[in-house]
Amino acid sequence: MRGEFALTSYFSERRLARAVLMVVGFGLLFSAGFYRQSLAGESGSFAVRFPAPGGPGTGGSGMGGPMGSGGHDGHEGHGGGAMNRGVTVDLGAQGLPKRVLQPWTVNVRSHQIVNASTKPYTLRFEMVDCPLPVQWDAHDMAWNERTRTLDRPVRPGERVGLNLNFSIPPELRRDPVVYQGGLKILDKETGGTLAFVPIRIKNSRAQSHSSANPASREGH
Amino acid sequence: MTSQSLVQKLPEPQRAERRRILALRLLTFALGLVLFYAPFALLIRLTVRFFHPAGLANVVPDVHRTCLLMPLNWFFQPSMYRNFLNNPLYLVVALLPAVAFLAAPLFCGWLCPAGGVTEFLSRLVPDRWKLDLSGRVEPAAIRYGFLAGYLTLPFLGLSVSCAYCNYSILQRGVQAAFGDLSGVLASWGSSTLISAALWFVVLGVFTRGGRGWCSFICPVGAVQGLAHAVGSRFSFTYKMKLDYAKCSSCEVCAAVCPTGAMTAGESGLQRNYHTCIGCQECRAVCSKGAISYGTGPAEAGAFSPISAGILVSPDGGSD
Repeated sequence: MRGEFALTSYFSERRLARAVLMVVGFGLLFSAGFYRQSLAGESGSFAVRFPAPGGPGTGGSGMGGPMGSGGHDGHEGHGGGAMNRGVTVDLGAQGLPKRVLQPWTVNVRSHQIVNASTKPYTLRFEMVDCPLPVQWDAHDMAWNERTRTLDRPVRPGERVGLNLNFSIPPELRRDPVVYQGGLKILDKETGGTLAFVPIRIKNSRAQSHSSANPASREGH
Repeated sequence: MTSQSLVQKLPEPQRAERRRILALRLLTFALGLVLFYAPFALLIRLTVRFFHPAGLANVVPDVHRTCLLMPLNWFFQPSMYRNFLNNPLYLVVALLPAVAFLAAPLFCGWLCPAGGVTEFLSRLVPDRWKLDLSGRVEPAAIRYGFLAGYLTLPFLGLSVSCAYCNYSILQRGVQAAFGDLSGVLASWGSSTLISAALWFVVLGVFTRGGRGWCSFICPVGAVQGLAHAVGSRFSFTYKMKLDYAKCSSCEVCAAVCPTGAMTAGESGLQRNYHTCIGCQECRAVCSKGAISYGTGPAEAGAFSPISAGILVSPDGGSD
């Protein structure tokens, strides 16, 4: 019947129908959230403070290195500041849409890269032992794509971001471990390492077989 | 009758007025694109130039700087309010319900390109190819359910604001349109791919009105809809007003309404202020002057089945 919502014909009270629809919307949203959570391995994220403990310019008790896989949307990364905790992306953990439409491009992004020291640093970024083509983006006006540097000092307490998109070439797509290396954050002036984020891209769907993935390939 | 066939039968003054409204809205949507989306992002650039907020000093200006979704996630988390100090543009999301309370969700109906894109592109699709949900499912209730979930998910350590964001999808498309393919060629997550399919295709271009995502899902629209529904009860606020005494129940207003806020039937016109976006298309096409935009009571006159041509009066006349 036009002018009346069809669902209300099943209920004696329009308000009851609306309440049911609200619950449906609520449930759908929660389902969406849990679905997203189930796809946590589809991409990687990290939060890192620099310099690492014992490094130059550390003021106080800054915890250098990555702070776990992190939260999203401005939330602080949770899970502690263990130096060896890095990022793992699993191609086998991709959701169906990703697996069908774009399985061979993966994303690793920072929630925040924080200068936890008392002096400014000009940063340079470098991938370690990475044979994969990488698209870099820092969403920063001072980002230099060619040299992979931020051509401005990062002040104490300031946060910057970095977005990495890895393309998996055909010859590596069947390897159980596609890439194992990491991201180095360097002091552009001295070349010293300020922090290191281990990054691992694996494919849990790949059959285990010997991989031709020498460790000494030049980083991209 | 399809909406397209009803519109084609409109008298010329109404068709001209509708064209004027559509042209005006196209311009304001373009303005919204220029204000919020890279490569322009004029609002962000002006804010940086004149106010120098710390959180915007060096970042590339794009739609993420005026994110409307994350601040909703922070609503019940006072520890996150410090983000407003770094980037005061996050407060835009607080401005929108205030405007909606006073004057209808004008951001949705006139400024948001994410809704405007799908609405205008859906006009190019024949009605027979589109999903028609108007009058079948009440979108406002579902949307409020989404909003409630949105506000409470963070307490479970979950978040959907970035994963299902149609604004960022449009940002990738706008950048690509201006030669920057980095967003389109970057990694797309499964949830983003699903959002793109729902926002642009299923609930967008192939839904009647082109505003399915806006009406059923968008939490920003939900907040504004709630504000407008409350505000419409006051006479000092601006709203689309109905004069039932003038209504002839031609149903053209319901046919052109992009959100299904107008429905028409034997019991008369019904307007749902929870989903009305103040686009004024209904006013433009009304040949009886029964719909207007302004202050005062939302409804006037009593619906008359006789003047609506549904019944015949005892003396044999009908309007």
